[in-house]
Amino acid sequence: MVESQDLHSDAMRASKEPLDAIVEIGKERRSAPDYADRLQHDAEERRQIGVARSLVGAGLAVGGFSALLAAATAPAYAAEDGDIASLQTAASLENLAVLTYKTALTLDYVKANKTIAAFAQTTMQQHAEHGKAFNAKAKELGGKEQTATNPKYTPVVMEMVPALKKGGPLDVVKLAITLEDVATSTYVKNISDTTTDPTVRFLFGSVASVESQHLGTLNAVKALLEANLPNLITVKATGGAVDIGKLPAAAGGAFVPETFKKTDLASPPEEGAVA
Amino acid sequence: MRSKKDQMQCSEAELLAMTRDMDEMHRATFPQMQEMLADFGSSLRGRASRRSFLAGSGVVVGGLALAACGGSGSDEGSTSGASTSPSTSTSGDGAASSDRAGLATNASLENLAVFAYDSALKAAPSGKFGTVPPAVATFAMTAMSQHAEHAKAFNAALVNAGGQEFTQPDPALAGAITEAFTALKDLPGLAKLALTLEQTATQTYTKQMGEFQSKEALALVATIAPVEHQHAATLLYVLGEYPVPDTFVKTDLARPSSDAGVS
Repeated sequence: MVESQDLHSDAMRASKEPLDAIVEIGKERRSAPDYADRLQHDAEERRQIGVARSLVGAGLAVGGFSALLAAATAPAYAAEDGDIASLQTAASLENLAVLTYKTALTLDYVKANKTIAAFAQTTMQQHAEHGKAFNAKAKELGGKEQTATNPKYTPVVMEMVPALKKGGPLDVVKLAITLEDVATSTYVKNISDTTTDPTVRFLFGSVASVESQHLGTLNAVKALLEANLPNLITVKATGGAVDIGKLPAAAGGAFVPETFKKTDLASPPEEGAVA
Repeated sequence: MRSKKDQMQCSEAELLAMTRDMDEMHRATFPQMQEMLADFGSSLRGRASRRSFLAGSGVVVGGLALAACGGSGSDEGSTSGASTSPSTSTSGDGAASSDRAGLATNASLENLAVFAYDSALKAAPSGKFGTVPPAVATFAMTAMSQHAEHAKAFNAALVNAGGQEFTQPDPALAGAITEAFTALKDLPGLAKLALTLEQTATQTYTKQMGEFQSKEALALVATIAPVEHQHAATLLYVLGEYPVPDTFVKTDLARPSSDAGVS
């Protein structure tokens, strides 16, 4: 576990600088004279979509033309509420990811593979940092922290735990792929469809690409496990660099299955929101 | 002396099969992007006056371009020096203009990546990088094809917004990358150079997520940046390194929107 601790320390060092930058950028933007105007301009463009989605989500859309009309003239802070909700939902996904990797680290077959164990440990910590960043931003915008796990996917994960205990690495890798894909898809969609604050968009972008690397790595691990080549799941820090000459040709594309990141699995902003 | 087949452990039939698979993949994902870009054009045209700009003619090579490599200061509204007219006539026009400048720069970064992977694939059979394993050949083909699609998407956005396609590699980086490519002698060196290009693209697009104004431009960078970051993960793995070293995307390599010289 020394190797995974090294990886973890590296990851923590790497995380500090960009996170500080995000906080600084946020402070600069909010202190700019045109911040309020820019926020209102951004909010104006997305307000009707956001309001309509909220009403549909709350079951108020039917016969609700007058409500829609009233909402369309609501102040711009309604759109910022969408930012807070999407940040809270993101935090709920991160919290669930932490719980899932923590559970995975108790499984004997995960502990038996140094590289997979190191990946689970490092990824768990990265998700914890992402959760902290989303919650910090939600609080900064006037919202509450989301400390619970995602309400939609938590029961799914919990139901799978008994099967994971009896299964093998491929089972836990497939579950992790789903969770990473949901997180990546959600943040990608939020950037263009939900968020109004540029610093929130930047935060989602900065995290989405890291989740996409988790996703890509897991897809590659899955391909190697399915090809019965677990010995090729290795990096310098956990047992030596992979012998790339032994990798099957298909492995070269396994990390990158999509040319544009699809968002079919995206969670709606209100899914993990805190009232 | 090693034969062409020895240097690149991948038969032509296998390469053709890979290309077919990639074509199918692109057909599956590209229509969604085209639909989105049609909306993008109408959105930007609604806010900005239609005007042509010097796509392609902003290419600068040599010392001047290399001097620009280190600069990331003022990006929006700055041009190659041809125009001194203010870029803040109206907020809507300014927003459209800065988005277009960024989209042109993004197309130029994609063109540069295509150039690099294409050059690598063409040079591989000569033994320039030693033996190229099949998985690496597959990756190079996949990445090149995906970058070509990304360039098409960024250029389609430019055209829909009333601009012109930017078909040249990033003028601020092309000279340095060409020089670095010429000096390459092995596969790890090639992987490191490709890694730098992938990180530059990811970081540029991520930074733009806090800068772009239109929903459609945001959707483009949001859906492409994660793919570039997966390319980087692959290259790190090939180099024997941990594929997810950073908890948040850094931005120290991000290029300014002025890179392509389009305003």
